[in-house]
Order: sequence, then structure tokens, then C-alpha cells
Amino acid sequence: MSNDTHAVSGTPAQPGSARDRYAAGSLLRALITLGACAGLALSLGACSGGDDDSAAPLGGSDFNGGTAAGGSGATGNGQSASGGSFSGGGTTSIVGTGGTSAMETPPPPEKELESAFQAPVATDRFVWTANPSTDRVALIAADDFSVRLAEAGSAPTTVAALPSARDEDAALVLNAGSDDATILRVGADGELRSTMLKTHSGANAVTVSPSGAWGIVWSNAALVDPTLLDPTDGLQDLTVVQFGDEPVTTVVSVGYRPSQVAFDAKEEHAFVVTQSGISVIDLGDSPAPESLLRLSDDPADDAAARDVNVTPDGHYAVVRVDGQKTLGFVDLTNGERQTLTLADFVTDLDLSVDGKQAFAVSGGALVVVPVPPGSVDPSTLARASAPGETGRSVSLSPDASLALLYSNATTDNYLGILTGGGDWSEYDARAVDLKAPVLAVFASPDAQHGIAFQATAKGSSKGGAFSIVSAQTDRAPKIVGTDAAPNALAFAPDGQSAIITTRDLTKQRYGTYLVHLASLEQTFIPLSSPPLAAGMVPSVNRAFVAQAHPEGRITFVNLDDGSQHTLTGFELGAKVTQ
Amino acid sequence: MNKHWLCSLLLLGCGSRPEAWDAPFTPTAPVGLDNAVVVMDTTLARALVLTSPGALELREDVLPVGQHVVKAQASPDGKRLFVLSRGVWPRRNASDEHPRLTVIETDPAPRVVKTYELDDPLSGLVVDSENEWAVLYVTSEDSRTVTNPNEIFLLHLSELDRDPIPVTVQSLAGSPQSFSFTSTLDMPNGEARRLLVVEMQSEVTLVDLLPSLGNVERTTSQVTIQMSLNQQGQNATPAEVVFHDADAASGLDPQLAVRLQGDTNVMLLPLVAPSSSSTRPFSVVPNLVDVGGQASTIRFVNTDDGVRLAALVPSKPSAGLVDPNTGNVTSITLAKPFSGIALVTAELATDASGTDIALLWSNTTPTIGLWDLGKATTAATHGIDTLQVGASVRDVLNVPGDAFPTSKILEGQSGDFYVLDLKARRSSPMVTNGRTYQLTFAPDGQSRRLWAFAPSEEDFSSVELGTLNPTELHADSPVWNVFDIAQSGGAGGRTAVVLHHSGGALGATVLDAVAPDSANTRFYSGLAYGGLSHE
Repeated sequence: MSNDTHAVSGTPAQPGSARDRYAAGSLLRALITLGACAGLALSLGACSGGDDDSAAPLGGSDFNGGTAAGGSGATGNGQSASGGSFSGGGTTSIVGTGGTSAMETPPPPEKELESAFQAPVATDRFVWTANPSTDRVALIAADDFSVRLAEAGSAPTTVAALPSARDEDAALVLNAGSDDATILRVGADGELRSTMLKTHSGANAVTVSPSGAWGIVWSNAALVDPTLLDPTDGLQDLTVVQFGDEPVTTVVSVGYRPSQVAFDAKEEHAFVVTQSGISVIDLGDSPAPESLLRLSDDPADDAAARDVNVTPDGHYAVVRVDGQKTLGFVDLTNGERQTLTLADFVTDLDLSVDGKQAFAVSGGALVVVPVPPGSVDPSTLARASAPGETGRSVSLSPDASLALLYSNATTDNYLGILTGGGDWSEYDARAVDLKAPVLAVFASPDAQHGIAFQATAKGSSKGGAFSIVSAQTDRAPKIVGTDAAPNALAFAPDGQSAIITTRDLTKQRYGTYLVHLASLEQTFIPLSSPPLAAGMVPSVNRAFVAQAHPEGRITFVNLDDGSQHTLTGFELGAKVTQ
Repeated sequence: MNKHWLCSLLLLGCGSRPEAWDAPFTPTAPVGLDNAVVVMDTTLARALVLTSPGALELREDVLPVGQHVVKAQASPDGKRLFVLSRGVWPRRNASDEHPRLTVIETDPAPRVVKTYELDDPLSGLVVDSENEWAVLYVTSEDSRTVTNPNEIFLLHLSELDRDPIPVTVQSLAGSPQSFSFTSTLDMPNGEARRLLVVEMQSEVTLVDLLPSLGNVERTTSQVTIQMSLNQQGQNATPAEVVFHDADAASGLDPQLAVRLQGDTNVMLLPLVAPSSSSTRPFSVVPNLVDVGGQASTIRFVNTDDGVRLAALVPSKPSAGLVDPNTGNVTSITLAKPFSGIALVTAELATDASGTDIALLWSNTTPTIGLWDLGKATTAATHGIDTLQVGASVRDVLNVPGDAFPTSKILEGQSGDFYVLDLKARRSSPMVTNGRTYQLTFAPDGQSRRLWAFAPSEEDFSSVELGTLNPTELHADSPVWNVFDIAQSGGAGGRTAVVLHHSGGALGATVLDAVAPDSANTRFYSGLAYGGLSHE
């Protein structure tokens, strides 16, 4: 499961400078937050790609490319399709040996739980949170816990941290009620400055380029109640923001229902993954749509079943489709498509941070695929598996040296721990019994540990569980039964500690665990209100847990000693007349 | 002889009489001072001041007060009486009396020491427990065409010659519901200040009681804090406000905390350093803390882990210890649903640790607790010792004076009461005959006794707090109230004044308060006439 390319509103896309790296860390942490029941349902609906029937294979042998020349990729797609759901467009196709027949039943789709919830936004010094009912944004200083309030537009909802080369903290706030956005910047002198921008109507997501020079304000259908969306609501407008002393916005139109936004390394183009394909936006002096790169030649393809991963440099998109054995590769510079058919159904896909390798889960094993695959023979690809665990999903460490294989489509208590590196021609693997069904797994940033969220074990009186596993040494996993189900996780950037929140709305049991990974030690901290999300403020070595409360509540946890500081009522200060 | 008849005789003798003399004697509730009992004769605009020059002696002085008395209240030190009167209202003639505040003192002799004329009637009065300030305010009884409910008058009690200071309490939408005063707080800017705390429907306003508070400062000396939203999305109502001075050792700023009605949250109001441009000595940065249930009461306490706000949550039952620096709550499970707390550190502390000891009681279970807060976070028992008493406790009374520092009176829900010796951890029941008794002490605590009486009954009782020996007493008329006052003769004796009020008559039975005996009493009648006769 990808953990670095899903578009999550209010978070920057890729790491850059030191400050940017932290902001990107927020993204990573945002992406690994996990919701409770309501959010789980949303996650399943939004990410799992429909039912089994819609994900049925269209025929492994049909994944043959057409004959069209690649060109710029802006045209020609779909003209030479030969029937596969991912083919055509001047591509080559490689069929692996040992493929199974078209009548073979694929495994049930895995559940993409990790990206169901967005975390509050943190920058170096502040945690930012918007209050739609008061049109304000609270800036909570993580060092002294002071609260500042900033005026935004009408009904501010989404907040995105802005990377900046300057010594300042900045965020972009989307105002749902006034179809505009507010840029808030706090300089080293503490002065708060705001700038208003006009956006298209209905914006609910922001993706910021690694340098912070560009932002794409867009409308993510996954964040909208499906019952409120008419089939003709394409959410095709997006607003390109060129940041600077005088920000400039341009509204452009892209494909039907965007789901993801990425930038190329030079930040000359933005790529918007839509159901129609990938819309390419030229970020020149006058941003404009440049092309639409189709991902399939079959208009009947179920776009929702696609798992599209754009490499961090913006050069390639790698596509997996539920219930199919092929991987699709799209050269975003020219639109050329290539397919690679593996021996078994591809149930998950992740990319290395450098974008040079794709890690596909196929047939219960991890298959390492170079990007682009070139003429590689699929049968020669490195495969890694953990005997005892038939993994369907993977959680990959940022350096791709740790892969955690698991499955949540069926009840599976086991976790495969694979450590390798390079081309993964050599690796170590073991499977561990975590005693309770695994729901989601997260690899630590330093690739030394993993944390699994689990459902209630059979016969258990607990509300859920999580396990801490050590990757590099053969240590027994630490299994922790929890009174309430785990719902959010944040790792410290150095991977030494993590914060896990738990909540049971029915029994009103709320808490957070501070986990010291090296010692596999956890400390429970009760909370008085339901946790919503967790995050980190590395500059002060603190984690934060945002909680549901009419006046806003956040608890900061010192990662060293576990001491806490809870703030409630971010705007109470505004209600003081002095 | 009734009053009406006496007045008729006077009328015949003098040829004319004031109209008021035809009205029946209508006293207000009697007020006890250290050495006097005062009854307001509202009809004749008089204060009937009863003092005791010697054993079984009673003297009555009649002092003029304003017409239509609406409030009479003693100062907490028992030295002064404040009387608010409405005057003639509405005023039609220039000679019609203004609303008035009359200040009476009784030592060395009863006299009016100051009278303030007010522009409009006021019937609200609160006197500072440190006897430094008083607040006069409008109540719903002060019906006017146009009312500014937020207008108050501050009276500096050490400067009675100074006019009351008019202040309009800053408010967003409310009006004062109650007033309280903080002690002197060390403000972040180094200044020492006292604050008047004004609780309103959904706000709390802090009025900085500058020594020089006057017209210039009155508009700039207030901070108003709107209460947080409750679960219904409405601003909560303050139910209790407590305070704590700055604690240099822990770096704690002076703090106030507000308990909210029907809410599981308490609001912390630290008084932090103001911005450099501010002229105020502090700024308020509120924080909200959920204590896990609706708190019955809150109190700042010194624990082994520093200053904490203790919030009793009987429904759990638990006590939340809130760290005002961090907002973190340590929830301590209690064996019983304690609902009340009083600090008894001064009475019991044996070391210089600085940590508090608190008395806990419950209005639903017959158990009290002594909470050694020096062990609150370190001991398995959290430092709580429990003691069974015979009934759940309605209230806890302090015994005035120094004679019995470790004694508390527990008023039971059933009408019985208990004398609690904190040091001996012993509670002694005082079983009543089932009626709801009122308990009184000498304000200065010099008589070593408490008095228990039931209004309209002729029997009453006195308990010697050293021996816990109750003395049954009897009066020939129904008891209205009982007061234990110092004799004004200078001999150091004490007199118990048992008032009787029936119809238009006012009388008193006088006893030796130190050694009361129904066989050694003297009855005084005719008090309503301003003259005394005794039997």
C-alpha cells in the first residue's frame, strides 16, 4: 500500500529542504493515520475499488500494447487498445511466464486503511487547526502552548502546511464558505500576515510542491459524501497557485474526478490522476492543461479499481488494478505506456522513495520491479516472501529496506517481516503470529520497526490491539491489547518513538500510547475525549493528539518522558474581553 | 400592651402622630454582631440595637436608618452592620428620602457611623470577607423603568468618607449573579492586586480592585471571560469560582478556576504576564479541562506534585487533580462519592511540607474523608482516610475562634449534627428530635459553645464544645433566633440573647452564655417599642 503518493488534503507532496522534509513528514504521518469505524467505512468505499465482480480480470493475455507512437502522450491514447484495461498508447507489453488462466479467481481486495484520515497540520513551531464555525484558524505553539488566532475566510476547513525557504511558518487555508483561500505566514518576528486568494468552488484538498513554489487546490471526491455527488459532478476544476510575495492563481480544468496530484522534480508540471487518466498541467508562466494521459484504452474500465502511484520525480506513473496481474507504467513525459504481467494477481503496490523501484505484492510475495521495467523478464524479478504468511498488502519503509507483508481481506494474524535492500536479490524474512487479525501495518521511518493495528482477537475481551515488531533482530513481537480500537498513528521522524491513539465511542474509552520502539515499551495515557488524529512536532520533540471537542482540544506528549500538556478551547482567548 | 395601643396613648398626649405608628411592627431577620443583636423595624425606619452591659442585662438603643429597609448585613468580622434602604420611592417631593446605605458600629457604643445617599434603590449587598470592600448592586427587586443591571457601587471600607465608586461591570450579554473577592494576588508584573469576581449568566468578569480605583480606572480595570460552549452548543454558566495565588517555586501564575453548571469541564483562568503594550497587570489565557464528570465542587490544593485544582466528581466517584500548568488531569478513584471539600491544613498540618490536608464529605453517604494531599499521587491510598459518621452531610461548619481549632460541625441531612474532632479522627453525634435545627456560634468563638434551636419551638440547646455536654434549655415563648454576644461592659462576660417575635411584639430571653441555665434567665419585653421592661 502506497504511503507516499496518495493525495491527502492539506499536506505537501514531497520532501525537500530540511523544513520541507519535516513538512513532508507531516504528509507521511497524515497518510498513516487510520480512522475508526465511520472512517473505516469511508476508507473501504473510497479505496478498495468496488466489489469483486468489478475487479474481475479482463484476461492476462489481453494486456498487449497497441501500435501508436508515444509522442508527447497527449494524444493517441485509446486509439489502439486491444482490449486490456491497461494497454495501448504506443506501449510495449511484457507477459510473465507462469501466468494463470483468465478464469482464475483473484483474491478479495485489500482494504486501504492507512489513508482514510487526515491529520492536523504541523509546521516547525505551530500546529494549525481551522474552525469553520468561527472563520478562524488557531495556531498552537508547540513549545510554550500559546495559542494565536488568525482570521480566515468563511468556513475554513482544510489547512495545508507550506514549505518555505524563509524562516517562517506558513499554511494555506481553504475557505469552503467563500470559495477562496487564505495564506497565513508567521515570520521569525512573530508577525502574522495573511493573503487572500480566489479559488474555484468546492475545493477541499491541497497539494503543495516540494519547494513550496506551487500549490494545487483541488476537489477530492473521496472527501465528499457520495450521496451528495451527482454523476455530473466531475469536480474537474482546480486552482493552480503560484506562491510568492504576490501569489497568483489560475483555474484550470482536468479529467473527471481527480484523486491524486503530484509534481515533477523540476516543478514544471503537475500531474492530476483522474478517472479519465492523468491530466498534465504545464506550470509555466500561465499554467494550463497540457495533455490527458490515458491509463486504459477501454472506456469501460473501472477507474476506481486503479491504484496509481506517481514516482517522486514525476517521471512515471505505475498503475495496479484490483483483480489483475499486470502493472502499468506510464511515462508522464510522453504518455508511453507499458505493461508488465506478473505471474499472479497484484494485490498491492508501493514505490521506493527514489521512484526507481516498484514493490508489487503478487501471489503472496513481494516482487521488486524496476521503474521503468524496460524489457525485463518478469520471471527474473526478485521475489521475497515470508514463509507462513501469504501477504496481500505491503507497508514499505521509506528506504525500501523493510517490507511488512500482511493481509486484511481475510482474518490473518500473521505478519511477514522482510528486510533487504538494493535489488532485493538477498533478503531475510520471517513470519510472526500477532495473535489478533491484522488490519493495517506501518513501517517506521528508520526501517527498524513496524507497528500493526489489529482487530479484537477471537476470545479476547479487548477492544482491539496493536503490535510492535522489530525488523532487524529476531525479537518477539510486543502484542498489546487495547480497551478501544487503535485509530491513528504517528512516527517520530527518527523512528525512535511513535504515538498511537485508541478510541471507543460507545464505551467512551479514549487514550493514546507513547511507544518507544527500541525497547518495545509502551505507556498508556488516558484521554478525556475522542482522539481524531495524531502528529509530530519534531522541533520540540513532541507528539500531538487532536481530539473531538466543541471548543477544540489537543494534547501534546513529550516523546522522551511522556509528560503531557492538554489545551482545550483554542478560541477561548478570543472570548476574553480585556 | 401592644404597640398599637401604646401609640394611641402617645397620640392622645401629643396631638398628632406619624402615620407609621399605626402600622404593625415588621422586623427584618435579626443580625448578630460581636457584641450586639440588631433588629430592623422597617415600619419606623429604626434599628433596634440590643447589647448586654452585664450578666443577664440587656440594653436597647434605637438608631435611625433609612425608610423601607431592604437589606441588613453584618461585616464578616462582626464589627459593622450595613443597612440598605429604599427611601421614599418614587420620590415626589424634594424632601422625600433618598435610597440610603447606613453603616452602624456597636463598639464602644451603638451609633451610625456613616450614611450614604444613593440615587436609585439598591437591594444587593456583598461584603468582602477581608472587610476591605463592599459591593452594592441592583437586584430584581429594584424595579425601575430602565435598569442598568451591571451598575454596581464599590465601597472601600477603610475609607468610609469616600463616596461609593460607581462601576458598570463589563458584560457581553449578562448581568451579575454573584460576587466574590480574591485575596491579594501577586500579579505577573510584580504588582499585588485583589480582584472582584463577578459571575454572570455565561461570563465571568474580573474587576481589578486598584487601591485608587475611581472614575478614571473603572473602564480599563476589567476583564470579561465568556464561558465555553457546553454540549448543547450554548455558553455554559459559571457555578463556582476559586482562586490561587502565584507559586514562585513551581512557576505558577496566579490562577482562577471556574466550575461550570451541568458540564464536565472546568475552566482554568491563569493570570499571565500581559503584553508589553498593556496597562493591565495581567492577561487571561483560558484553558478548559474535562475532569471526567460533573464536578460538585472545586478547590485549589497543594499536593506532593505541586499545586492542583481538585474537582470532586461524585458520579464516578473520583477526584480529578488538574495540573494548571499543563491541563493534565490525574483521576483518583474515591471509595465514596464525596461531594464537598474544605481545607483543614492549618488545623492539622504537622510539618512544613506545604502540602494540604482536606476534609471530604458526602451528601449521599455517611462517610467523611481526610485527604492528605502530600500523598495524593504517590501513595496507593492517595492519602485518603475515611471515617463513618451517622448520616450523610449537608454542610460543614467551622467553629469560630481559637479554642477548638480541630473541631468541625457536620450538619447531617437528617437534622442530627456531629462534632468532628479532626485530630482524634472522632465524630460525636448530637441526636436531635428530628426537627431541622439551626446551629449558631458566637461570632468570635469566645463562648466555647454552639447553640441549636428550631424556630417556633420553645426548647433549645447549647453544647459545650470541650466536653460535648448538651444543655437543654427552655424559653417561655417560641424561639425566633439565638445569639451569643460579648457583654459590652468590659468584664469579658458573654450573654445569650434568645429573641421572640410574635405578632407585633418583640421580646428576648437573656442567659449567661458561658453557663446557660433555664433557671437563670431574664425576660425582656417591649423591645419593639424602643423601651425595655424585664420580668
